Amino acid sequence: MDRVKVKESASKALFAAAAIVCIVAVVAIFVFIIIRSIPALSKIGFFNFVFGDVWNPDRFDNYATEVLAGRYGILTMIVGSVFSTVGALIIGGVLGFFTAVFLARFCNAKVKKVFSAVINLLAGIPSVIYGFFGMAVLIPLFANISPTGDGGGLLVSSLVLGIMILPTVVALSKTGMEAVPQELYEGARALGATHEQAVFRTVVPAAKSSIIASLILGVGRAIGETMAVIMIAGNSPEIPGGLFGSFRTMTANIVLEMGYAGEVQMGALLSTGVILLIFIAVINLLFGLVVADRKKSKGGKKFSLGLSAPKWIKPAAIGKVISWVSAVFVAIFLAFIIGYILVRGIPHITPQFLFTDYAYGHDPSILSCIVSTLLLIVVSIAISVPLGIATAIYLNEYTRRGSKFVRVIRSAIDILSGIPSIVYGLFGMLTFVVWFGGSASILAGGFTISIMLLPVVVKSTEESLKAVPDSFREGSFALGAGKVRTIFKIVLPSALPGILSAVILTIGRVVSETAPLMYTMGSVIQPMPNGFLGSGATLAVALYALTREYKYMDQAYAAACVLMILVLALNFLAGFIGKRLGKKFQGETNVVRKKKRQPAES
Amino acid sequence: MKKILMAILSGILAVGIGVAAVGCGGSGSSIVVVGREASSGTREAFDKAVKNAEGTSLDDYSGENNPDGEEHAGYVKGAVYLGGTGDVASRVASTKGAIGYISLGSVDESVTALNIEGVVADEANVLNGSYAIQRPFVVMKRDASKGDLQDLAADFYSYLTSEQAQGHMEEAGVISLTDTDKRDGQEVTQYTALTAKPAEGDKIVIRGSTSMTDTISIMIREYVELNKAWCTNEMFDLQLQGSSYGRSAVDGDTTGNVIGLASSAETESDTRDHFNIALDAVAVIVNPSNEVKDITLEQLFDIYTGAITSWDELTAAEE
Repeated sequence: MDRVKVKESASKALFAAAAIVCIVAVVAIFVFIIIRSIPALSKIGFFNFVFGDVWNPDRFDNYATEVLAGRYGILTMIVGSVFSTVGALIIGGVLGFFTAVFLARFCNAKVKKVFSAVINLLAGIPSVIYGFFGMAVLIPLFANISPTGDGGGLLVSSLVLGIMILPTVVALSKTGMEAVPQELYEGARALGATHEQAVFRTVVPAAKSSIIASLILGVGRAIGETMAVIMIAGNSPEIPGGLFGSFRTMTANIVLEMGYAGEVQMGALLSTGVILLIFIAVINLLFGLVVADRKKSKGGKKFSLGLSAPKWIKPAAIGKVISWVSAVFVAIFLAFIIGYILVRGIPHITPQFLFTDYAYGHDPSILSCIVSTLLLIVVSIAISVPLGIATAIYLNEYTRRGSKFVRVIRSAIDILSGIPSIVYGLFGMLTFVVWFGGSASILAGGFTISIMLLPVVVKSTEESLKAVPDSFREGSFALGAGKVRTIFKIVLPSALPGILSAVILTIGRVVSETAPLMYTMGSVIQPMPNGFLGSGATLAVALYALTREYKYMDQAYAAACVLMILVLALNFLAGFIGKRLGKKFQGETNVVRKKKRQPAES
Repeated sequence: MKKILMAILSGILAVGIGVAAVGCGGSGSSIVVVGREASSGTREAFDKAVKNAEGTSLDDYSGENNPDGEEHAGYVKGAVYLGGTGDVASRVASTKGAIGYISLGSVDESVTALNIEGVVADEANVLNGSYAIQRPFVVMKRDASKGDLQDLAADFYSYLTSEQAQGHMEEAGVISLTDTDKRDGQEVTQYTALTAKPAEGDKIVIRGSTSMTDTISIMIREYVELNKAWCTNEMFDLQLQGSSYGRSAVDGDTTGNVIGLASSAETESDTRDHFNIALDAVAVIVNPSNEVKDITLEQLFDIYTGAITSWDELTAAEE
């Protein structure tokens, strides 16, 4: 009996420890970045930093110098980030909203199924591919209509960011609209409204808070995006002068200069990270408020028609047409981006490119990058998956729902998931890289990206655990099983499909990340890595490196192609496992449930 | 049926909007200024060479001692700053009105290199100094007062100083340098391959300029080939992020295995041990459709500071 008790409390301690590691990670990032930015902020002056409009750093400025030679004002970048985010919101938000309306109310089940898969694909495409596509295709295209003659800048950045946030907007708004009680719609129809009127005047307003929440999440994603933006925006530290004006975002500022920054300059970059964190915190807060509001309004509050049924949609039919156009536009855009990269890339995927080890001074090949990517996956999964699952188990199985401790951890995890990836990169470069011998390595990259993945794993595991009915647990307890046994024999197996597909999506994330890895793991194509302490570029980083080398555009397309196929395959695999295993386990567990209920009932 | 019609109609509309947006072209005569990010050695070399009539260089202009008293964080407002040679070349190749600068070795038929002050960018003109925008490729190691390099890194460094290394500069698209003065005092040496790996050191860390990617890759290839009895590609740890990145890596070298690469000259005040391995011209490139073939340094200065904003002003000046 004692042995069982020891086992129980030991496991509980282990799970709790994992949860604590999660908190420590968040606190560490916050404390580290804030503490390292304070000297710079006090040297530069907070006001000068935030409202200064000249960014002209001097590498030799240090904290001992009396007068700073450089100027460190990031106002232009704050404006740049805000402008591009607003642009993304206008494009991605509108397209996403109408596409969601289309999916929720204007198409049949088959179209909806295919289309939802398409939207998920959009979410899976790595940002470096969006950037590459923008640079290689959209900028030359838009150069034709640009009054300045240059196609890059605010408009194309907003367009690309808009497409990138679209999946987030669509997924959440669609779910919200589907959750609107059918009676509302039917009531509207009974009063003589057409289908279109019923949708735009009753269903949409009823789903208002979900739609707003989806837009807020989209804003978070747009403001944190790095790679796609630096390849398109033009990066000059100035307030964008018009739709085709060159500008720099805060994330771009960090990634452009972190490689060689001097003392004060590095402090200023960290401070840029702090400002980004503030933005993200505010966005999280807004999101929390909107979601809380949604929960309240479920209690039969009168749905207000105010915001979401703009009076200008006089004939709601226009809304319907726009929904169709949005959906078709999204489909065409996706088909174009995938098709273009496949067509340009596939002819250049040669056996030499794929299967020979890269040697300096020879044509690029990506075998070593694939190996580096695999090693990175091993490290990051080995760290983030056990930790994340244990944290999720602790949160879901051991704590009272809604206790203070849990709320603290939850909000910590939410914030962790909102931090722009480049801030992780900055953190990793200043900590893990230093710890692991001062030079970029797979281990350093792995640790960096693991912290980034933790919230993803925790959240999706929690979702799967929540989906396991409580009757399973009660049945298990009733039969005399302990907590640990229940978790490992009953709860985890039932939640396995969800967890597995989450792990695969996590792998997809590792494969597609670029910004946090450039300075922690390696930035150019190299021969086979020397084990985990060696450096190496992942496929996504290799693609970025190839686009910077003019001679290898064909190889860049080929690398983009390989990367995209890989990520799409992982997405399909995740979906497949989620569905197939889900069915299988559902069947088995149903049987289990029946068997267990019998003794309980008798 | 209605649905199908709807789908077709909206398809046409979506495509139509796209075509309309792209169809109404703008004027191609305004200049799109393309440059490199601040850490770039190519940019440093370009900024130092391009001067106006008073002798103010672009480098002074964007620095804090700008003579006109105003502060400029860089080029003219609206300039585009890109991260690599490839970005610049592809932007210029795809944008009618663009002007940019890249390493001469990377120029191909998709862009046109302009003559500077009537001088063609070629090897002879770079060597005799008549082509104005040129820079050395610099190889750096930490100052001897901080300690010598580890034997392995030192051996690679001695290969870089050698005559054998100079034999491959043409392949790298840069101009071989054998004159001791031009090499900043470093004589051309003879390199003898080692029969066994030096005991000290197991890694050669190379950090620095993206412009030197080709040059250093070929150097490593040849070095590995010469020492194939013991040397492998895996002994090299190569990260290229810009000249400043190379300099700060050499400054921060505590183990003695870092070799830095910079694509702009070291100044008197710099304390790193270094030599110039090759010369490179910075070619000023424009779109092939551009009629301008010749440009002066003053015009370049005016373009990059915004005094000239249209190609018409240049073509008018030529006539």
